[in-house]
Amino acid sequence: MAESRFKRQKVSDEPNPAADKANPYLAHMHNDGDDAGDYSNGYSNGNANGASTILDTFKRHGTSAMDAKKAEDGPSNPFNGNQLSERYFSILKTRRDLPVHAQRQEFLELYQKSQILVFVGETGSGKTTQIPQFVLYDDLPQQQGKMVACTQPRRVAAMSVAQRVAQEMDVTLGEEVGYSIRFEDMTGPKTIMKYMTDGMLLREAMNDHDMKRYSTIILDEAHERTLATDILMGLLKEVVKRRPDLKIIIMSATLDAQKFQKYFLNAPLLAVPGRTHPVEIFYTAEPERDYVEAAIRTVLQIHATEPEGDILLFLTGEEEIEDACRKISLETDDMIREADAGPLKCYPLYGSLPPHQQQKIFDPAPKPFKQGGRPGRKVIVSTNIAETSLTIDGIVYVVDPGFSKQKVYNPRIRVESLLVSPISKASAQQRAGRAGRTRPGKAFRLYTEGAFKKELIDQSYPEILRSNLASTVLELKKLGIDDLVHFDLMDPPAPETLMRALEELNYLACLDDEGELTSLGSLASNFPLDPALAVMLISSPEFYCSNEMLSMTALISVPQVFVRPAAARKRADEMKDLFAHEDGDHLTMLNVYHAFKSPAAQENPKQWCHDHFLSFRALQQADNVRMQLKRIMEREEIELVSTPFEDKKYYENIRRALCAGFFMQVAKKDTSGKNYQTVKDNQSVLLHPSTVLGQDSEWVLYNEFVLTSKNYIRTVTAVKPEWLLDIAPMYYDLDSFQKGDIKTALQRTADRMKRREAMAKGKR
Amino acid sequence: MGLAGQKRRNKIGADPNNTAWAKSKDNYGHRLLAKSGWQPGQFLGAENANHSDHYTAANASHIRVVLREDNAGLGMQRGKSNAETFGLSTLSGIFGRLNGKSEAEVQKQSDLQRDLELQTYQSRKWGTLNFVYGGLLVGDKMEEKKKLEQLQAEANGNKRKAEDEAPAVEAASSKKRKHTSEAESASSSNSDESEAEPVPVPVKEKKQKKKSKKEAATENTEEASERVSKKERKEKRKKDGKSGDSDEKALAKQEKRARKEERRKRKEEKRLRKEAKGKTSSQPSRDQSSDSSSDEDERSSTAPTPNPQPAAMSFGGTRHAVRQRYIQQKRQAGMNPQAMAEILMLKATA
Repeated sequence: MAESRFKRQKVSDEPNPAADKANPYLAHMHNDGDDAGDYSNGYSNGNANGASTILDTFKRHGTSAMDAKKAEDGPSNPFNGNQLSERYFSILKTRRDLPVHAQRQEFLELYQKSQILVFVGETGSGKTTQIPQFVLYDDLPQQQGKMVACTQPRRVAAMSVAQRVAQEMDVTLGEEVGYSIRFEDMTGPKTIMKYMTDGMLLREAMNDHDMKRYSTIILDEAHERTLATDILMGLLKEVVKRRPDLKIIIMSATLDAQKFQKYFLNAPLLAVPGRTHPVEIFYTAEPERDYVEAAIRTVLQIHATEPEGDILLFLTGEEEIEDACRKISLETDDMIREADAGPLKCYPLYGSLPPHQQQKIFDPAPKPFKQGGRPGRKVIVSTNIAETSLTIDGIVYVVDPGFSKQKVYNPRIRVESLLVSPISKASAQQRAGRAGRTRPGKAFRLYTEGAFKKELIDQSYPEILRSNLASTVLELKKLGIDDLVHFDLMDPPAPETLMRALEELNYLACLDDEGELTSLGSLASNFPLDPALAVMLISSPEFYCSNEMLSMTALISVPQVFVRPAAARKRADEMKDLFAHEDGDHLTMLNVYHAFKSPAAQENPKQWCHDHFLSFRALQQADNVRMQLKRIMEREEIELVSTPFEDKKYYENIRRALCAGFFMQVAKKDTSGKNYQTVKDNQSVLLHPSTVLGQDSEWVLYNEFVLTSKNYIRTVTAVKPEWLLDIAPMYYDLDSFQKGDIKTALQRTADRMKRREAMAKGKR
Repeated sequence: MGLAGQKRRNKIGADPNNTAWAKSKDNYGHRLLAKSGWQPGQFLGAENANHSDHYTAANASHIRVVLREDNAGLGMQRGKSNAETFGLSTLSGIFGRLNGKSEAEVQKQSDLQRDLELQTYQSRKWGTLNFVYGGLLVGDKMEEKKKLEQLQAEANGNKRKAEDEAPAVEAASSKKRKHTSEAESASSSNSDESEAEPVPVPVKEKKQKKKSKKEAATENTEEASERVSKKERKEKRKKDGKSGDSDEKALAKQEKRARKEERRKRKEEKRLRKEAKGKTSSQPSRDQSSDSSSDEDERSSTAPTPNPQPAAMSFGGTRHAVRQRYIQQKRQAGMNPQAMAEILMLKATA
């Protein structure tokens, strides 16, 4: 049974050169011609124009800040020989005012001396844009036919920084300077400086364990400790042993650099002071009853009583932020009308906000209503994006309730969820520090000093301790790490978390019983998806519905498509009922997607979504993800098939295909008939009120386990126990079940199936 | 929330932590880890890692989080929020003593607690009023805030000297002494406070001021003379800065000025009497406003920032309450001492 899953995949164990050619992650392996050692990027030696530049006279890893200054001063561009523009020189002037510039010589000396360097610089010190350029002038990657890579935790940052640096170097983006993010590669054969997401570098490393394309790798924003950065650090620690010519720079914004230094075997550390002003800290005298309300009141009070200066308020999530923005605007309107307050603009800021709206936070504060009137002010209500990664000038007041939404994973009940929880002391200091960027500021903490000391942990937990590691383990296996137990991570995860990840991958047949990567696992790791989703997608042709599952996977990986505004709940629910499918929410989502793609809707998709209480942004994103996944499917030669719609098995096939990925997320109605109980983990759960599924289904498959006072399962679909036994016999091995209701029900089903089979045989 | 709170009923499963899985040693993951040489209770990661002293409990087991149902702020605990109303706060002194705290410290703490309770009671019951700073009335002239601060700094420096030097000129009544000492203490606590936490201490100060307010209200006429003496002192201070060499000249001048001052004093008393006759009702309001303005200025100089504690905030978040506050504020602005003084002036001349 388990074997049947492999039948349809056209995967051979020997390397497939044709497939490798098409794989963009392997692109560098093919353009190197006969000379295997030379990973050329188009340059041979010197530059493409053939004209010699000042850089040719430089000695690699032997230059000084003076040399670089000379080269920077032109008159021709040291990298492509073109005449330097006027804009270049004006930018150059501001660049030389940046705090990092003062320590260029010191940096170069340390960089030349050691293989790994830890660099600490506050946001705004210019490290992200300048350090890579300092490196370019000394490392001269073009002479080696290599590149300098700089990783960023966020796609947007990688793109915008690359753009900025291209401007600073007076080159076209995509030529000497480029970026590479998931699904978008903006680099060319001439590229010597590449900004990329940390996840992207990790993906490249899967196919090139030694990262041979790079002469220097810079890990920026390492203090954020994203999963990918953590793994890259562990990986690079091993790579430097094999490649003594590779240089590593770890850049962090916080002074927690000691830990980095220790981890990298006492690598030298260079710290550049940021430009900061003192910040007065205020605590409340008593704990707050409602931190959102207290935050709003504080903002209003600052507006009413404090001198000019913008406010930054930290809240936890999109909904809370939008709500607070609305309330603040309403109250200030009153304040303006009745007490002649200055104008106030309130901008939300969170990750899922479209970029043009995110850009608004940089608008200047509004002007006073009349000459000499009370000054205007802007308020930015943000998630913790604004904590370290974004620099907003003009902030003088920070309001910090002490919470943020953080991901947590409980390996025992296998639930990963975003919960509002207290921030760390380090975070609180970072937040307060935002107030002192332009001039002395004030930070209002909506908790007592005692609470700060007692209730906050010292450092935030890195992502690796807060996540389900199934896809990480798959990646590590693909990276050739065999001993997961002793892999040198900065923060090793909890043993139970690793156990769960291994177990899940084993049930998904991505790992064999000895812990080795199977061919299915290897294929699944090519998808930028959760392993369960990847496996579901890979096995979907078996159920003749890969087109549908492609849409389904895209819909599951984007934010909620249904919108339910507080003001129009009833209408929104009515609209949702239009798409409802009796068998569950997955099929309902599929209905929505098909309706969205219909010509009638595509005439004016935005309006259509608005009318039907759907999120245009989410659907558009799903469309995009689907396209990308389709490309991968085609590359991996996974058939794209559909059951004819008239076939009465159309929906059943889709539900069966869902089981192939989500068989570990199934619940059965318990004897009381009200609650459900999750299979194997035996957690008591309720159907989420948003489900379209009636209460009558005995077995359901769910996408999400929501942790609240009541445990809900969300996005559910009715399934049949026969399918489960049929599709995932290893997981539904009856001997491994605890005695109880679920086991007896499964036993009964198994017996029934056996009888039916025997009968069928008897007939024949 | 006690008995009145919402009832929450949760069905907790038989094994909410899934200890059955956690304890089992023969699951696939456990087996695989053990195969690589891991033993229960050990951290993962490199052996003898250089950075292992940075490991925390989170590296050993998953992170535990408390579920938050409401928007309660950090440090807010259900049922614990109002321990003082259960009388538990009275025990804190005993506990403090048992824990070996000094008597003075215990007393200080209980005083603080009492003041805070009073403040919260007052603000919950009647709400707090916000006052707008309008300068300091010295004699019949308004002093700018900046100058005042300067003066205060100066005063702290050479007040004593001034008092020693000119005891003869100053008609030293006991009451005046009291006032000056009070002012001194206020200003000194002032300067203390601008450095320290702005939260709990102003309560005490306010009380002090309330006391002085009462005094001022009962002995109206005294106030004028007091004010004059204040001015005298100030002038002396000014002179102090300059003088030292030309003592004689200064003395003559002083006498002259004293005479002048006396004249002015008499005039003012006359005016005050007239006023009192003319409009008795306007008097207290003026007092209050001038008093409260000085009150306000003290506050604004000590804690120039809004302390976002709920007790000090007079609006409850609803729009209605906010509106009410603005109305109050407007009314307060109508009582701006500058404006009032002008009105009274007009009346006095008319």
